[in-house]
Amino acid sequence: METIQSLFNGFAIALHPINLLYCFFGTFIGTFVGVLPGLGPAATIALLLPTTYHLNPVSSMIMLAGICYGCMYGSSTTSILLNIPGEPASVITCLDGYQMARKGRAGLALSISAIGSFIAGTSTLIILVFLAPALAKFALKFGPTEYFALMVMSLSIVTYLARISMIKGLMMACLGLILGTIGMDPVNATPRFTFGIRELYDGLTLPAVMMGLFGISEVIENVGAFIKQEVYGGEIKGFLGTREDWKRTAKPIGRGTLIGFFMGIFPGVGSIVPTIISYVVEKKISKHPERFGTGEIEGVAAPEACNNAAVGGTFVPLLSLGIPSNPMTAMLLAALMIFGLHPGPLLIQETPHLFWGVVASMYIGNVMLLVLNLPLIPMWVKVLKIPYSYLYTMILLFCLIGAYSINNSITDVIVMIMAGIFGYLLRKSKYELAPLILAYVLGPIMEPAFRRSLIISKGSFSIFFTHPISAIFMAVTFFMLILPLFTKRRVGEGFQQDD
Amino acid sequence: MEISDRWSGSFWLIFSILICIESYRLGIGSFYAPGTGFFPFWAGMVFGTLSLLLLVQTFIRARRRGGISERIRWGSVILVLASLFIYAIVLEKLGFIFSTLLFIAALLMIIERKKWHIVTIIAIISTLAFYIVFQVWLQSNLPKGFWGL
Repeated sequence: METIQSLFNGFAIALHPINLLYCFFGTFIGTFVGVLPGLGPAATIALLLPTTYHLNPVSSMIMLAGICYGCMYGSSTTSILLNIPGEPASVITCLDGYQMARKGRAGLALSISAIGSFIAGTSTLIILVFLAPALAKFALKFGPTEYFALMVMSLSIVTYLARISMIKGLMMACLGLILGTIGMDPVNATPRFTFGIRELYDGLTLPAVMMGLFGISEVIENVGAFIKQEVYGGEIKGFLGTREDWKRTAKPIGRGTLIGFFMGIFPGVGSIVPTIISYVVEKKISKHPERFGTGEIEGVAAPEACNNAAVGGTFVPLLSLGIPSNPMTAMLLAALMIFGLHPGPLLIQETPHLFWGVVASMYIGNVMLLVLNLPLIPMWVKVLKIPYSYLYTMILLFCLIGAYSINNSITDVIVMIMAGIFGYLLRKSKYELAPLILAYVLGPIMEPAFRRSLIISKGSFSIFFTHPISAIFMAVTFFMLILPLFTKRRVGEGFQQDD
Repeated sequence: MEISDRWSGSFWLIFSILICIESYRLGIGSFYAPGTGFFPFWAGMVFGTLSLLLLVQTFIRARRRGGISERIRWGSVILVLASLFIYAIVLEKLGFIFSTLLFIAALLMIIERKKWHIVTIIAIISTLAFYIVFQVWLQSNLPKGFWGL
């Protein structure tokens, strides 16, 4: 009953005209960047972060969350029409979605993916509403030891899912932890690795680093490559499909939703692996597995439902534990910290209006996306025809001015450009950025937890294995680290990770 | 395993050694009373070990020839980077409006070779749009240059 009451309060907040407007902004921008290949939700949130300093935290979070799920809607459009996934989470949609488009069923593929996303998005919110507060209540028992173990576990899952090389994934996690120590020691305020530069005393400015790693480096990569875009020229029609089509998709949507949500909950999993698994599951249980890849409707419905459900899933550890699952939620965590809130089990209790307002806005946002998106598809296709030269000039300018306006300081701009070059070199030498960013965001929380645990245990590492909850987390970590030694191929090998 | 791993592995190995030295200088403390350099020191140690493993792997495993096979337009990449740095340097001296006009013109004319009248129109419209969003709406203090612009 209490939950229902809180949810109603949340709706009252989310339906406030200003918040409705920001919800619309968020979903609209999200769809836009989802459609555009080469600019992901993490970079977009980083870009918009400086602009949200002047807003109140609830409106900002409503807008930023809108970007996350709006993006999933948008990216399916390009996967289906162009065979180019706007986001890595829609890579799988290309397989059957694009084939459907080639067979003249683009309209149906688009509407199935939009409606599947809608069903998944709204139904996961129902579970989220009950699960997140309960989990937060449970997590109140966590001390620094449990927290440290939990964060180590999330990092190990992220590196396990690193597609290219486990060693490189772990290296990036270590690098992230080291970069996170730049600035003042959180315990006794001694400056570390600052080389006497005063601006670095507070650490590297996170939004600047993120804009560099995900925005600038991606632009440089695209500018350096010879890309040619071909937009699907055919007419898009037949949105409705037949009754048979809808009957066939009901179950895949349900399964995709469950897989997405329950995998997404695990800190570190993110949204790509669940979509791959849901596709594989559909193929396994299908009566005609050989037809997958030739334009099977199930192959679009399940992963599209799944990637939206996974976004809902990743919000559970973010809002109830303060643990991000991918770069996108890492940016949301950073946003919460910048607003002066304390992400963690107390977030829901301390700022109920934020939690419930954001959750309620996600229902509304999903409705907005459904209503707006199908009629707007021709417009999104036009967006794809904007020449990249104009687009990247604007993205670069947005990054430059955004970085400058964080603290009105050129140092941040330089940090961003350097992070961009660094990110480009890392991409080119096949290092993944997701473990780096997650470790970088979690590092400053992990370090005090680690040091406090050791002080409590008088220097004995056994504390991490004798506390039962932390022992479970450590066991999972251990399992994740040794697993690659026994398995030849990992799930989703060859796919780029979330960004 | 690619040849580039050998370069990056060596780089990270040296990097991690430097991190460990600096952390040692900051004071590692002990396990029961960890100091300022404790956390980066151990992160650096693990990092260094992993880099070494990566290096060793490049010697053991079969090599994939050719390294980076894709073609890269290095000219454009360097020009874009140069414009970014120049923008950062001149922003506070020339002011927001002039720097932005120049930046857009540089990218579109030099790298993308668009016609000058199109570039002029786009530069003016987008500078104005950015000015309205950041200065008027969000009230960030964009730097001013000549004549208070």
